[in-house]
Amino acid sequence: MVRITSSDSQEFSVSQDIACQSQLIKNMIEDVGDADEQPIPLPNVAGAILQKGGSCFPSISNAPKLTLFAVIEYATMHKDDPPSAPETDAKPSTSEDIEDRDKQFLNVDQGTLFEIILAANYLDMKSLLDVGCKTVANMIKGKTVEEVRALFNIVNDFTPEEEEQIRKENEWCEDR
Amino acid sequence: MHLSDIPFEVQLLIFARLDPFKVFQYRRVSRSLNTLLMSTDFARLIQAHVGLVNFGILSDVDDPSMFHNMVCFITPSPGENGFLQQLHNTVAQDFWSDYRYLHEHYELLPTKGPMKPVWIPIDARNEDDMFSNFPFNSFRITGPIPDLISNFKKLKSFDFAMQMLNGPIPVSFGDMVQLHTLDLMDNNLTGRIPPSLGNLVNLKVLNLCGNRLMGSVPETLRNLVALTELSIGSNDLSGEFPDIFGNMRQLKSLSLFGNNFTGPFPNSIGRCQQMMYLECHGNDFSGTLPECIYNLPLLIKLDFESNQFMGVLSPLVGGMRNLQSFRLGGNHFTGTIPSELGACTNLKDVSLGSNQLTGTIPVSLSRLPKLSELLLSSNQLEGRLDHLITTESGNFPKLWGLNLSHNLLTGEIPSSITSMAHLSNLELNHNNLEGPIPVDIGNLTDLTELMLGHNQLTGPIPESISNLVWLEVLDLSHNLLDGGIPETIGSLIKLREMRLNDNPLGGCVPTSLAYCEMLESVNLSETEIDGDLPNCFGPVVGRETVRLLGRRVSVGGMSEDANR
Repeated sequence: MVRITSSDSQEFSVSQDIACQSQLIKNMIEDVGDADEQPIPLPNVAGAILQKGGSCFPSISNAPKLTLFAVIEYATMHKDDPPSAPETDAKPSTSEDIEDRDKQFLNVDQGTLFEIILAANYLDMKSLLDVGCKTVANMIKGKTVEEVRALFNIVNDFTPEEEEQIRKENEWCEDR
Repeated sequence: MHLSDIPFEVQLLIFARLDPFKVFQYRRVSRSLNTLLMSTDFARLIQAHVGLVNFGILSDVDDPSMFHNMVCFITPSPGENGFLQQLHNTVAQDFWSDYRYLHEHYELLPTKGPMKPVWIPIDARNEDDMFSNFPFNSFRITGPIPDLISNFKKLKSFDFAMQMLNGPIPVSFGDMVQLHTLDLMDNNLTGRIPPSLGNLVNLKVLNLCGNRLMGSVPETLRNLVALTELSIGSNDLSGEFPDIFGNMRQLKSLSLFGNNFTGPFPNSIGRCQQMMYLECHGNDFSGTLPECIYNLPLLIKLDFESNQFMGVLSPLVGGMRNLQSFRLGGNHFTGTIPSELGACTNLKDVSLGSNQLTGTIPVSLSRLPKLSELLLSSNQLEGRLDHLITTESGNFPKLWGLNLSHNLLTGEIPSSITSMAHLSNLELNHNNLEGPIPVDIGNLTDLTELMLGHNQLTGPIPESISNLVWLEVLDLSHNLLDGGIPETIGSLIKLREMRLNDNPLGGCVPTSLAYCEMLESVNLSETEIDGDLPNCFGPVVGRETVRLLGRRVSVGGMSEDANR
């Protein structure tokens, strides 16, 4: 087992194969050798305590949880996956190939989703980062510029002239 | 938490997931998104993830068995807009009518700015010229080759010779195991030759000549047993050349020239019994030349010039009946020139200059019916020239270049030399030749260079020399020539350089010299040539390029100019 602590001192005990889905933790374990002695601190992840609002995590729905917890949940779910199959096909994988369980796992509010992506990036968990980015990309897909602004609550900070200029440059991709 | 709280590099990943042909519309969302989508990082990501080169096979609508090979090659780097613009302008507009159809069957590729994506059709059945259907001659392809090229695992030929590709050769080329031609000659590719190329067991042609590749040659290339051509010349490759030829039974052509290879040349070359062209000049190979090379029965070209080889030339060379080109100049070979060389009746050029060869030049060479160039300068060859070139001998029927300079040759210049009608370059300078210049030297009307300086030639300059109307360089300096300069010298209207210095020549500078308008350099110093140059010569001397170095030559009012 590997012990991991967040900066708010919550400690998680997870099996090594789960923890090592994070390349960061894997490297740390390899660096320090025996991981039983000292808990591994992950200050960056715990930095933002996340109120998990939705009910999509049946097991954790009623309690405030950390992003770290969700990440561990994801890692547990995927512990029996074949060792990271590199995207041999390397096609620009778009949304369609998200597994149902991942879809359900990431069916959370936008803030939580970004939080998970951030944690996956920090923890260097390629598959989670991948599926998280796909999920956001799916949210964008098919939307107009205006819809994307609304989706992410982005303020249009272009002058009308600037926007017109870009619209002109973009004729090739906007007129379809 | 907000999209803008996500790090830039993760946002890049998100947007790289979107259809690259539509994602650029989101430039308009906000300034920060515009910056992101227009960043070099994003372009790189798309290139690495999506691939900005797209080869695919498109089946015909009506007949799925008909394949058209299509290629799309777009470089995203910001400096390449000119290239894209030109490409765009060149593509006929009606080509885009199929656009939507293509879009459904291909991954289309983005580019920044107002450019539309570009499709380039190629005919898969014409592998010699991928662009034969395309008005592609007015520009060349630039940018790195994306790793994703290996997605096209069925590609048989990757021929992008003479483009402007840069960056490394992708390691992923090793996955395209169907390739039989990989031709990247004359680009700006850098880095090493990836060992993964050893996976391409079907490869027949591997041509990486004329790039800037460095490092050593990977031993894995020994697996390329189907190779007929291996060309890696003109790069910065170095190190000992691995012994990789043992199973390359089909190899016909090997080009290693212009690199920095060191050490001995692999003996396994003897296994390549089909070998026809060995071009390994301009390296630092050392040791002896493997004797087995002389046993390659089909060899046409043997070029190991400018290396560090030593040892003697094997008489086995006489067995190479197909040999046309025998070039070992600029090494450290010793011993004699084997007379067996005269048995190679297809020889066209023999270049053995700048070695330490001794002995005489085999008379057998003079009978070679096709020999056009014989370069033996800067050795210690001896013997009488009039024994090599005689009326009885073959007299070098096709020779146009003869360079025997800087040797120890003696005897006279035989008059029979004047029957070598094709002779264009005759260089006999820096020997110990004596006697007169053949009076009929003017018969050699194709001569452009006549170099007889630094001998002990006597007698006059033959009048017939004025027949040599193509002559550009005339060097008779440092001899014992007397008499004067022929009056008709002015007919040598191509003459650029005339060196007559250090001879007991007398008389005047002929007025006709004024017609030699190409003259850049004249040296008449240390001669007895006398008197004023005629007035008509003034304009010629007046040109800065003419330098009359003779101390005793004065040019009327122009002498100061002339000596400047």
